[in-house]
Amino acid sequence: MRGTGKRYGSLAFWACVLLAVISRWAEVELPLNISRLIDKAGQCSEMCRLAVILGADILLIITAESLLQLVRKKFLNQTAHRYRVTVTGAMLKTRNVIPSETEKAEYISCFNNDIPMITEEYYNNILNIVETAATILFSLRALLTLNFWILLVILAQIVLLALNPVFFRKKMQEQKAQVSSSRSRYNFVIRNYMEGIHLIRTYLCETVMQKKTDQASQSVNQAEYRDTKLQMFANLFSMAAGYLCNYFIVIVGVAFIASGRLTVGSLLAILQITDLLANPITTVSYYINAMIAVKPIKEKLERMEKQGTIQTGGAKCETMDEIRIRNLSFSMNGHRILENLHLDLRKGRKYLLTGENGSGKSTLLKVIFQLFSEYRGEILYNGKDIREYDRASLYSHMTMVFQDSFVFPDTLENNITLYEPYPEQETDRLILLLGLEKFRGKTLKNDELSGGERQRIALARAVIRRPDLLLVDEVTSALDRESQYQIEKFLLSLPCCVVHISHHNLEQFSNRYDEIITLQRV
Amino acid sequence: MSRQGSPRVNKGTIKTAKRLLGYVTSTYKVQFVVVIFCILISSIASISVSLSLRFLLDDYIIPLIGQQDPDYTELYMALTVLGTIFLCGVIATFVYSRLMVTIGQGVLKRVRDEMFEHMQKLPIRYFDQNTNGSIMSLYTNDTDTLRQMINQSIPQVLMSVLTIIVTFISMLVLSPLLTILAVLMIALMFFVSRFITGNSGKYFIRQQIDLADVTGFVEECMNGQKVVKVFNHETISEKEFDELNERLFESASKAHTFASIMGPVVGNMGNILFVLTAVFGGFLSVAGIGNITLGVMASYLQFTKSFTQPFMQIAQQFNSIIMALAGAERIFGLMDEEPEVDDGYVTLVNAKKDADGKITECKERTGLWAWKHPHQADGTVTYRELKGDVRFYNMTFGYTPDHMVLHDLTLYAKPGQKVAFVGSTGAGKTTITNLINRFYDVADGKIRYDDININKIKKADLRRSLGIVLQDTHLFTGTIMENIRYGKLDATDEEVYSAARLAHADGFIQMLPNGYDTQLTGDGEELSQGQRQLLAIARAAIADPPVLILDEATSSIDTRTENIVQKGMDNLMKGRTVFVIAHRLSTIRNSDAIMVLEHGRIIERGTHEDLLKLKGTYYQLYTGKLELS
Repeated sequence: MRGTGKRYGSLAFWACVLLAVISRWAEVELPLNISRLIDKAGQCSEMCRLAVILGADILLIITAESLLQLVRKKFLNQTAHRYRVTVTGAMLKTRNVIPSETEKAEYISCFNNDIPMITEEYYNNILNIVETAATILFSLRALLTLNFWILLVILAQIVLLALNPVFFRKKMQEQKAQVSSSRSRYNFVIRNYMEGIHLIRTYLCETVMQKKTDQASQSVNQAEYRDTKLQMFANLFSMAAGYLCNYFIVIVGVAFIASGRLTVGSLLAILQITDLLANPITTVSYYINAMIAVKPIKEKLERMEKQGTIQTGGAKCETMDEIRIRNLSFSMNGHRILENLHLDLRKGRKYLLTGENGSGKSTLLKVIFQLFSEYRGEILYNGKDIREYDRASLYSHMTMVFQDSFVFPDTLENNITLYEPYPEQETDRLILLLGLEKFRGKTLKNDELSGGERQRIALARAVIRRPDLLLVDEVTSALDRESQYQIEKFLLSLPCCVVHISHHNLEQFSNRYDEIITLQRV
Repeated sequence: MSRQGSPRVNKGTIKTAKRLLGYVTSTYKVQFVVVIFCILISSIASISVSLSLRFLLDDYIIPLIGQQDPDYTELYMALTVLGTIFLCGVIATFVYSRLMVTIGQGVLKRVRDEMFEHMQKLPIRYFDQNTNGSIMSLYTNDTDTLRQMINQSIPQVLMSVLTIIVTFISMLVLSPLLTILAVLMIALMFFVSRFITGNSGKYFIRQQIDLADVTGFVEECMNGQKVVKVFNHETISEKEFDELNERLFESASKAHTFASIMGPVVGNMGNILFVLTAVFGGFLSVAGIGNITLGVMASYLQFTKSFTQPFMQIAQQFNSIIMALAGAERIFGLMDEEPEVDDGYVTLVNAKKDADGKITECKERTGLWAWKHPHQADGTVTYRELKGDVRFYNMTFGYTPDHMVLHDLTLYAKPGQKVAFVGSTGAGKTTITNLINRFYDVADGKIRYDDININKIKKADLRRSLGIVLQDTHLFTGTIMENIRYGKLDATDEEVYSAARLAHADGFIQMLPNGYDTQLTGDGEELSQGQRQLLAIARAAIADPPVLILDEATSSIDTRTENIVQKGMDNLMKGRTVFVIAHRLSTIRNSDAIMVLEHGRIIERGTHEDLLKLKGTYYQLYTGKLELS
């Protein structure tokens, strides 16, 4: 469904091409017909006939152009839509399941900056080029029939303009890329600011933030400035060439009329057609330049789509019997977090995982849960390498509750069931057990809930699926004593295997765990 | 994700346009005038071909046709003049283009900077009420369309307008009769295009809104990524996203449908005029009316083309201008938001005490702080020592008028006391700290600080006397050193190290490959939750505030490290007023006063032992632990 290649093949595109050709042909015919009318001035019947032809010509132009615009916009809209779908698809399937802040900002930048840029400056310009090519071809053909020498002048101009991209292409690409990157850096700074607003206000850091933002703003400014200036030069070059060409046409045309080899009507037609050509010739190099400049961004999006899919195995997962971890080592950003870990997790048992800050407890759970795939050593689920299982199937047997859980803007029930049809008693039971009655039926908002409330909802969400293995990462830390008590009691009463990271487990529960595992920092 | 009704296009847009123009004229008045002048020259140059035809043909060529020995000197001169005009045109175009780049970029930078500067002054309420996504959209989408407008649309429109004026004058001079025809045609064009634009403008604004919604959704999606993936629920997001996308697709389609019809219709009215002029003019010249020579016809026909073309160009640019103005309107909306009001006039100053105990202000940092209270009535100034005595009197408060979070709350913290807030989640603990900080304001007299009405104290000074460690630790991009320094911007390296040692962050920092110079990105992902907490504590330590607010600060730290931190914190807390929001017995046990909150009311108050004796809610909360011992 989310493919890349089909865009050119779409019907809308070819319809645009056809309509462009028709409308441009009719447009070039117009000055030719008028020149004939003028040359026949004085002969009434001829003039009437030509007037009718002119009327028909106009009608054709209008209809073709209107249709062209409509279909064109539809095509561009479709393209943008497909890109948006592609990017979200890639977003959902990224290899690294937990997107870092930079990755998040990049995806958002994609939506705001890159997709519109691609639609406007790549695909739109393809159509523009088709249109201008049609105009140029028909115009040149008409000029050929009118006067050869003037045609030469125009050809010389075309050659001159064709050299334009050669001078500017590389620089324009570089500039565009710089604009894009400085912009996302600026956005990142602003976002950082908004997220830390409480701190900034309290610690009165406004001046520091101002300086940071000023720096970022300045670099955006410079990049945009250079980019616009460059475009301006490129366009100016084309424009000057256009003026020159016009001048020579007048000279040559006048010369031919003076020597009687050209009628006034023909000169008029020549001027009209050159006018028609003026824009296309100057803009075609602009279009090509813009397309070239945007190409890297387009490729970036296409790479994003390809990179998306995680390779998972295909095996179907069964009920957990045991998980064996041997020689597990894992590093992140050059830091060693886990080293040569051995661990056994057996069905139905309860494990308490403790250790200092930075000893890797959270990371261990995330690795077991396959959120990080680049580890060394082996994790065997029922004797088979856990990576060989189909991810979806695996997740139906094990689940994890995180320290910072997200609640969707939806009802409590939907947040727990995630739209799957669980029996109402199940949901009710959990709501009761986890003290969530006051949210029953209400639409929840992530920002309006306290940390503790979110944790409990996340727990309900996890437990309702009756997993064989439940990994719980510091869930009770933000809760009051009583809730802690309830939850830990709840966790220990579950039939499944539970691995619970907690610093503050209530001592009365300590001996209810089958094993207490302590990690030490590497 | 907000839904607004169909917004209006006209009144507000003109106001916005004027305001934008204000930006240009205030800084770039001279340049703008030069730009307009150059555009004028450029447009004259561009129509010089059309104009010259009349003269060239009628005055120079046609008389010469058929002559035996034509004298071309005058013709050559005319051609030279034409060449010079062209040259001037090119130079003028260069000049105005170059200036427009400067003006455009300058305006854009100013808008961006002003937006951020103003945002710095906005109350916390603004950030709580608006999603980050929609605010970001202002910085990204809306400034972008503004840039497009300034760089492309404005010069184009100016050029078109001037061309129209110049052309019209020339046409009138050439042939008044034919001009009447042109005017009729233009009137018709206006009527039709106005009808169409009126309908499409609102679709463009709708499109921008839908685009903002999609962006906002993507943001939420990113935040909820883990849940989405873990529970294999890409389908939920996909479904919702598809809906949003469809809506955007539709509004984009609608917006462009109207606009697409307009271009060709208006553009070809020019062609129609062209044809009619030729036919009409041809018949007129046959009939001998109006002195229409071949030269006049030739010139005039050229003019009709250059007369209608600018209208079409304006029409094309119109849409992007409307969109940009809609974006500018939103940007100005941010800039017009009420900044944080601060009526405070009591400031915090360094002070020293002399032998009698009288307090005077001094410049050096003595470690003694005092409130400087100027009295408007008689012009005197009194100083009161900063002790950290905080009291709430019958405070009722809610973030929204219909939902109160705190009810008739009275509490007091004497200087140097450690006050703990306990209660189930949502009971109002964080709200209390938001109020002490004056992130939200309350009625006069409800909160007193060192017996001064908190509303009278300048916000900046008030906050200088407070330090906070929040539940959600936020770290900024930068090195660890910089992050700790946020607590006290002018701290020396030594001060940073000792603060880190106090918070016991020094240990793990030294173990990092780059130590204090380790770069942190965004949310400090390289560190564990506990390590981030320690950094936040170090930040508070270096700020050395008289009043400290700890919001569940130690909950993500393991018991072992927590013990060490506690000892350090005890030292830090000595002689300071501390408000602690936590659930740990160890944290609370040493508090001077514990307030038990429930639904925004204090239901129990006392020391740990007092409350246990009460056998009330507090007792119940901690029953488990106590039964064992």
